[in-house]
Amino acid sequence: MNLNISLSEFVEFMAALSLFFAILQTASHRLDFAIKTYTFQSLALSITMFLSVFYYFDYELIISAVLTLLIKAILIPNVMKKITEKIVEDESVKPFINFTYSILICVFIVIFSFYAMSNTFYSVSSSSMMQKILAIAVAIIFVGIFLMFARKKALIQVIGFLTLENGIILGATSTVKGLPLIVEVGVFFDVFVGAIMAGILIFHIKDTFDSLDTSKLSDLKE
Amino acid sequence: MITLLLTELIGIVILPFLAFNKNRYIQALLQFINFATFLYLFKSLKTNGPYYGTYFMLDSINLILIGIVSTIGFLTYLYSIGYLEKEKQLKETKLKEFYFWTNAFMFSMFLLVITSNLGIMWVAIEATTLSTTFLISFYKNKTAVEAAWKYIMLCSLGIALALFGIILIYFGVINITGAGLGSLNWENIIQVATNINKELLKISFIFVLVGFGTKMGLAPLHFWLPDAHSEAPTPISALMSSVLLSCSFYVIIRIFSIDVHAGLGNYIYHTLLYMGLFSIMLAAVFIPRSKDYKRLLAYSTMEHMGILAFSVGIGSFESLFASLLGLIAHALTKTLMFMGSGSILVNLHTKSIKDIRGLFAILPITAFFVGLGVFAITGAPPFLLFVSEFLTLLSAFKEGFMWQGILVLFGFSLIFFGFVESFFGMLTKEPTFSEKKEHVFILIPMGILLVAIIGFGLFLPNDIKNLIDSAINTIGVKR
Amino acid sequence: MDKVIGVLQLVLFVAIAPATKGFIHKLKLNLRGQKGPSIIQPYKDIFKLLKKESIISQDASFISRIAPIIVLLALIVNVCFIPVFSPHTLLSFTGDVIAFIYVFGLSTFFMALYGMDQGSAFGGLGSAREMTIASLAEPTLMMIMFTFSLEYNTSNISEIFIRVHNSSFSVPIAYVFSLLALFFVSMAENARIPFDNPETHLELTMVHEAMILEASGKYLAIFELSSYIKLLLFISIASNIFLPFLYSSNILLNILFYILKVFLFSIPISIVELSIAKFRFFRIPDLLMISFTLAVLGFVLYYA
Repeated sequence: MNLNISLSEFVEFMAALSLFFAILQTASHRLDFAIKTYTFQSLALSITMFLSVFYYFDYELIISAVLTLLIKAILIPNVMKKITEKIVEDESVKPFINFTYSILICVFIVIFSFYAMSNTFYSVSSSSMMQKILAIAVAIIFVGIFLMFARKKALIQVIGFLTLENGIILGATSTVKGLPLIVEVGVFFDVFVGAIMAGILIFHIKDTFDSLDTSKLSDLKE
Repeated sequence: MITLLLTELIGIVILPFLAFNKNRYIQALLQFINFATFLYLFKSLKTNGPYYGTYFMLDSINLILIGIVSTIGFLTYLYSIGYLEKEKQLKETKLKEFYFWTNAFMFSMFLLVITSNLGIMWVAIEATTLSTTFLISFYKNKTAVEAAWKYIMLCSLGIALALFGIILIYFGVINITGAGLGSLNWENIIQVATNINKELLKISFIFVLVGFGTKMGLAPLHFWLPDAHSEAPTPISALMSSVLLSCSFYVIIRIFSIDVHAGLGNYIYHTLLYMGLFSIMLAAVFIPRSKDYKRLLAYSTMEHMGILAFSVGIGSFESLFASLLGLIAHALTKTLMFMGSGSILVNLHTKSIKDIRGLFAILPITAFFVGLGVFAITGAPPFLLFVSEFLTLLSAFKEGFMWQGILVLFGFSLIFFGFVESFFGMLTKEPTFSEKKEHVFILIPMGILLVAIIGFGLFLPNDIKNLIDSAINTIGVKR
Repeated sequence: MDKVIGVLQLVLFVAIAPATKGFIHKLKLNLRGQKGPSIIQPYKDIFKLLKKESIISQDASFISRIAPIIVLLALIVNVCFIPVFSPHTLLSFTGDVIAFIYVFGLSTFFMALYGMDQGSAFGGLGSAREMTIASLAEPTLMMIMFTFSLEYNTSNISEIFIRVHNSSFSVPIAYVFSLLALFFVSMAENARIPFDNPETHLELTMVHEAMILEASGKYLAIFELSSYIKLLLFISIASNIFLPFLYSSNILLNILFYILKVFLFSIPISIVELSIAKFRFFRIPDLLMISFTLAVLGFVLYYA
């Protein structure tokens, strides 16, 4: 046996690590842990993007990787931490679906997306690495969506959305080697502003409802 | 074309320097400049033909949208002068905040309709979501915050999925033309559309439809719509309902057009058709049950969006004509209705249908406009929406969508019944309030709109007809 | 000759099993700043226990007499599946991964039976907890085993061993996930720290110790020995099949390498035990599901 790990394998590994952290979010009982896993997830994503530069030789990806690192792994988690510190409340995430089942559902999501991608993208993807990372990206997207619907706390829903965004960025990296720079910067800007605005809205929710539990947001009904 | 964006930016920049009282007139004036720009662009398109650049484009499809955004934008700003006069109890900074976000909202919508790049289109539509969030939570009470939360979460989720759809299209295109900003250019994609991998386009269409369908309020994805429309300040409800949703529809049309050119066939048509049908039926169920008139109008918006999707889904020339005409008609009519309801709300401070009786005695001119508006919005004859709805049904039967057409007709009658019951209860009978003074700037835009929908309904100018015709040719008809 | 090597492997394995336990324990205590007993303490414990009289509860049935033997035997059969320094094990002709898992299950089953047979409250409690953990850990173990049996197109452990050590083979990076999953599972199956604390007899938290609370004398000695063997089994799988470094064709050198690797792999166990606290029992399913996720990730990263 020998130990020559190819670059593409390493990229795959980092992407899968990002997926693993995304799943770990669904297992987190406490908000600070969820934020921490989100940080690691973004970090893994930015390393994936950074390594892809050497695989694709597309240097625009460096900018994307740096932006991911700055915005998603440093700025947004810090803002989130500030919010949790300011809003003193119990830190549990309050699941609609309990943690064990959540993880199990995520496992099914992973298997499903790998299955779906291997069938549909067989004809268009040029490399098996692209196919695998695309499957991972789709899995991250669905895990993000699942997180948005399976948790009651407002903050973790935002984390779910950001996870979904990470999945999309990963998908863009793997399939199209990153979007054109101007679009990519626009996307980052939107995501960042969106996260900040959701954070401010969380303060409003706290002010008006005295809790971050979104299941209490049920005044609007027919 | 840059003027459109510049005026909005100027609007934002001058906000802090002027007192609010002066500010609102100047803001309206800036919007008038945009309206004038639209007229200029209309003329230039007629003489010079379509223009496709790297960043911007101008063809008949987006000219319709520029027209809608600038016209409705101008009228709404005019209306806001009167509306905010009645909200004087709010702080000055709060009122300026209103203009700040509204200008940002208008800016992103203009960017959305004039850009030629699908990626920038996405950025702009996400920007509309962000800029309207704080407008929905403007009053900061429980229901408003709840609506804003639902809005930002659901729409961001949907639009993020749409980004994935756009990425898939881009993926298909770069296999042919190579990577770069130009490969996201709508015109360039259209040219290579037939060579793009069909499987990829099919998957991307689902993502795009789910994404922008959420924003457009199509049926299974509409949950944010009634809440947001009923909670936002009324000028914003009007803008969102008639302009923002039209803009989402516009993006769907652009991508739909790529798929038409690629020859995806019945798949895309039927998806749109049944989603539209479902929206109409759901709205027909909810409209008679509504207890809140702004909510009722929101469901009517859903119905209209359903009609648009339905008629695009039929796919013939007439139905596409009906759809684009319906887009214009919806924008004009729904703005009128929201303005009317805003006038009621700001004077009487209640949204409940039960509490309001005898509007003819309380707010006579508003009541007159709203009374006619009810017929206009349900698609009764002399008004513009009638032409569109009639054409939709006609083409549905012509193309062999029998039972679907009958269902839609059934939905229309339910909606008509619901509207007439709710609104005529409010208009007639013993008045529950004393007579209130109506602000002139609330009435002027409503008058303009009413004249427009009756005038266009009776006599559609040839210019508009030709514009729609050439837009349909750009989109492409079912083969 | 093959048989001789097989017997030799078995003997070596059983011989160093207590030392592994002793090493982990000592390392843990040393890292904590304590002196700790010497590495050969577990041997002394076993001999001491063997000399003592064994008392069996009067409520106990014949199960209490046969269960310790079956537990030990099942584990010894498992040892015969695992190549230690050479692929020629005693059961190499049939060393199937699925058989391995189920023989393993047999020992867990009899362990639980023994706990319940005592008629004491703690035994039943321990058995219930043990079965909960085992039933959740088993799918993960299965998934891990399938990952590499599919990779090498065989379910025979000795065959896998041969193919892994083939020089043309390169370690796939997805193994990291499977290895992590295996780590979690082995911690769970061996009743080690995030799942159970082997050092306490605190009634609320114990799992494994609760089951053998009533055992004494030579029965306890057998149970202790089985738990040492069980731990070494997992370490051997990790060191010999997952990360097949340090391998030569010389058997004597291989024995040395094997022992070295076992001690290397013991280090992370003691470090993890030191650095994290025991989880609440109701969090354990989550942890096991996470390890299952890891196993699945390792699996799909290969076969997609």
